[in-house]
Amino acid sequence: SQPFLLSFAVHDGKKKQLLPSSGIKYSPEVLIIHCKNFRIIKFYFENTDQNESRKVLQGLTFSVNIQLGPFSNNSGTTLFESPEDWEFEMTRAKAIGWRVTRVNEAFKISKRITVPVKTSCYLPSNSWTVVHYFAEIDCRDMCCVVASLVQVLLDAQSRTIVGFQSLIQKEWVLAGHRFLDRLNHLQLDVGEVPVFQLFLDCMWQLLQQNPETFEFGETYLTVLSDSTRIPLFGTFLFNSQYQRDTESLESKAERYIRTDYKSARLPSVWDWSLQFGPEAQWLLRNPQFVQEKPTRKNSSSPMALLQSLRKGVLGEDGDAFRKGSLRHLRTPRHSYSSEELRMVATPPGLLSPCLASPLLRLWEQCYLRWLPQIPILGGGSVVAKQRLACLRQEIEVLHARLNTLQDMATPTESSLDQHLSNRCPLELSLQPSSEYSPGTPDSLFSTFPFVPTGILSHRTVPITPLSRLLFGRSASGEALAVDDYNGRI
Amino acid sequence: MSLQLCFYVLAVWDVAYLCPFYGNMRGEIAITNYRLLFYSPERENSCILDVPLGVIARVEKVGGSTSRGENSYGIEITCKDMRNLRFAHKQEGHSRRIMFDTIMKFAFPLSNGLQFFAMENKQKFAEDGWKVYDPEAEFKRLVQGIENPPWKLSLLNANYDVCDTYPALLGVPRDCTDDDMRRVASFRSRGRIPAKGGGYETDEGYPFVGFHFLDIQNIHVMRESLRKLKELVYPAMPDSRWLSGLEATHWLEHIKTVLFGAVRIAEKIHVERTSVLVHCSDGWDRTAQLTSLAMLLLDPVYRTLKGFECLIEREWVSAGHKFQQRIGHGDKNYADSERSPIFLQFIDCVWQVTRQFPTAFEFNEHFLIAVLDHLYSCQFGTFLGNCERSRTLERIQEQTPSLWSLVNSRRHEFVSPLFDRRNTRVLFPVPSMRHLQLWLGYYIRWNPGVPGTVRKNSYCGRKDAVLSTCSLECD
Repeated sequence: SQPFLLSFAVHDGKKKQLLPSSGIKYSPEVLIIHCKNFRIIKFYFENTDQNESRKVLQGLTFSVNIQLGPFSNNSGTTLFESPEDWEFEMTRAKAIGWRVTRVNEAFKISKRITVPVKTSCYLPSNSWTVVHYFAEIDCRDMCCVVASLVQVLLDAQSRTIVGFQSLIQKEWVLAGHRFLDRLNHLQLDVGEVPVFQLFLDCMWQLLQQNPETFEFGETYLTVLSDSTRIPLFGTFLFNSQYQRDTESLESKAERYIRTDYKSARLPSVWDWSLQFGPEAQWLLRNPQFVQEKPTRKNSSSPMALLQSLRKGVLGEDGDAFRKGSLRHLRTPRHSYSSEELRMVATPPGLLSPCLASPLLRLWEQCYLRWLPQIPILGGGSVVAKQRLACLRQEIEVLHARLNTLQDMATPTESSLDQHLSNRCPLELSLQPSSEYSPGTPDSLFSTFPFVPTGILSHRTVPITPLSRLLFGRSASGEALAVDDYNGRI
Repeated sequence: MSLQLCFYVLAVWDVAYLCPFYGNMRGEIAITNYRLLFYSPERENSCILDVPLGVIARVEKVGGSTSRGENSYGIEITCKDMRNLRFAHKQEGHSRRIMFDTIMKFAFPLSNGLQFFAMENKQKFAEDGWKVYDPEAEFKRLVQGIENPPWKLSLLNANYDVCDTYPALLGVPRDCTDDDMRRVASFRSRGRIPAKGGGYETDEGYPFVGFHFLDIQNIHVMRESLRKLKELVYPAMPDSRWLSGLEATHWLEHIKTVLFGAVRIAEKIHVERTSVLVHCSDGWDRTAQLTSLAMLLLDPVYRTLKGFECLIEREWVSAGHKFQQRIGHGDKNYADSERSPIFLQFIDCVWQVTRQFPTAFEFNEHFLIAVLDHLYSCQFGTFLGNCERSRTLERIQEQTPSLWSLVNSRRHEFVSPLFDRRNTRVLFPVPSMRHLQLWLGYYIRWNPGVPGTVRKNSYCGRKDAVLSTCSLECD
């Protein structure tokens, strides 16, 4: 279901906003729904029975209470609700000189924070600790954005799906970002600000500039953006962890029991199976992702590394740059000797984004996907990705055949099939030997997998696994968990 | 490649290059009969600049004898390819004067009664690019499989006396006689018989015809638009107000109108199955853009490497787009109002379509940039001249190599790995501003801070290696 923002009914030529308190006594001609995911839907009731249309309106203005059972967290994401999670993270980050304290365990000291506030710096000894220090009164808005982005740039683990989700838990959920207020779930208008959306947009820009370094794709970010507006997930419903805990349906006594169960009263957004079937979840991945190799020992002096990074990444005016021309842009290769180049070019796990204005783009998939004139039929970057997947698969098949021939063993069909079944359905549908037509680009749109309604009715869509995916069936024909009305998986 | 037989060094000087990105650096300029090279020992003797002289639009002296301050006395070079070069000389000695005179003479051969470098260029390639476009073969391909084709070849214009800006071989309606053609030519602008173009008369002359006016601006507006774009991006881009600055150039708007027109044509032909007449004032600027773009969308052959070369040869070169006038090869009159980036605009449109359909084209971005580089370089004869007649008179094909010789001999550099040959559909790009992007890889490629740009470094190497291949013998 699409989370609404505002709904209007047109009656007798007048447009009125529908509020929970409105008593609906009239039958509308038009119903206009503004959705929080930038979509506008209109329904016309010319040919509808008046009683029916009135009932639709009445149904809309009632709020719905959702009764939820306990959900367990099996997404693999670190929730950071237990001290063990923090201990592990400290070790991973090699944070020397810091410790986990349980002093705020029952929120005795502060209801707003659950961890001590740290200061940020880049420690040259190949370890890092990240920041919550920012010139902000409350430290729960831009702090979260900056802290998260810094870690995404520095730490390859944060660019994996599980790592990214753990990062959001740590820097947003547990840090007390006011999701309830900022996303305005209750329509109380107490400080609605799209801070998290801003963060996701920054992430998308990084994804565009460095497509091979992220395990998740653009669809993941769009879906995450949509999910924040579904008032269902405990992740995004509260203003603080304290509120999250106390709003639980369990008795107060259970709050002191430290189990995983405690943390899972409301479903976590990270359990994607709640929204998508297994094949649809493949679409959240990034087909261009290249696993980062473990980094070599860096033998150069840490201070030199720090200096060159400062010149290049942070864009301060070094003597190699002209004022106003290259500020904030990447370090040109020519300025350094080959020694320095080896050092600067591949610092362990570091991303340096280019901040030049021409490179910042509008996130089309998220903001423009519902406009019917926008999607390019048979075009867009998704077509290139599909082609890449096809080529990669061909190469792998040939490699496998080559290996088996070289080993002089007879190739068994089952081993090849097993290998192929590990591929995502996107690639499976492109088997050259299959009966599916190679013309799959016909069924692709540039806004894939989001389909604005109305376009497909004019064309006959070939029955390929891809089109089945679009219409809610798995590659082999079973129905997926699909929301058919919205044409979205 | 036998570089050493045709490139020779004219002179070398000690100057400072005032680079807007790397800062000022001292080094040496070498000017050959083809290009300008700059090396700096401060940068490990690597070649910083490699500028074919054909790219130079204007050379000016900067600073006079009373100039004080470092680097205020020198030369400024305005280039046609979105950059400017600034050099500083010592006031003592005559190095500035001699360098200025040398560049003025060899960058503008037309104004100095000299030949283009292409005419001296004896490079040999594995492939012969002049054979790529064969009008008869192309005509046969177009009417292939059609019973009693409604078109035929005519040699009426074989001596260019019916129309001197059209090619010798014309495809005409089957039932059209030579007399018909002569009569038509007599009241057409410059004798240009309507081909894919027609005159815009009143409706009475054309019953059953729908008129669509595409608001594509004239050559002067396009020239001004590119000038504003260059100002915006070179040498520095504004941090704030980037989008409003870009909008003020209107460059992407013009791209949009051209692309929109091409899509309309393709729709009419493919979806509505009607014929289309395309017309602009003379038929060699906007017409060429629209017809070649429309053909690219409709026919997958033109999306292959050789097919695209053929398209350019047919719709631009032989159809009489005035490359000499529009580019101003070798002509020092930089303010000529006939100059206009019409062909560049077309290539930009092609690039936009390759962005929207990344698997539909056999050639890659590097190819498009190479075409644009050699549009100006005068290394090849492909873009010289104004029409087929003048090219035949000057024997361009016999004396110069074709750009396609280079390209087809090095196919692997210009081919896209994503090309899907099985994809033969008609393309319908969306000409919406939301999709059009500024081609950073071409317009902002000189800025080293912009990642992902294609670096044109094919001839660059270490200073001694390159200079040693330039012998001092004259042709």
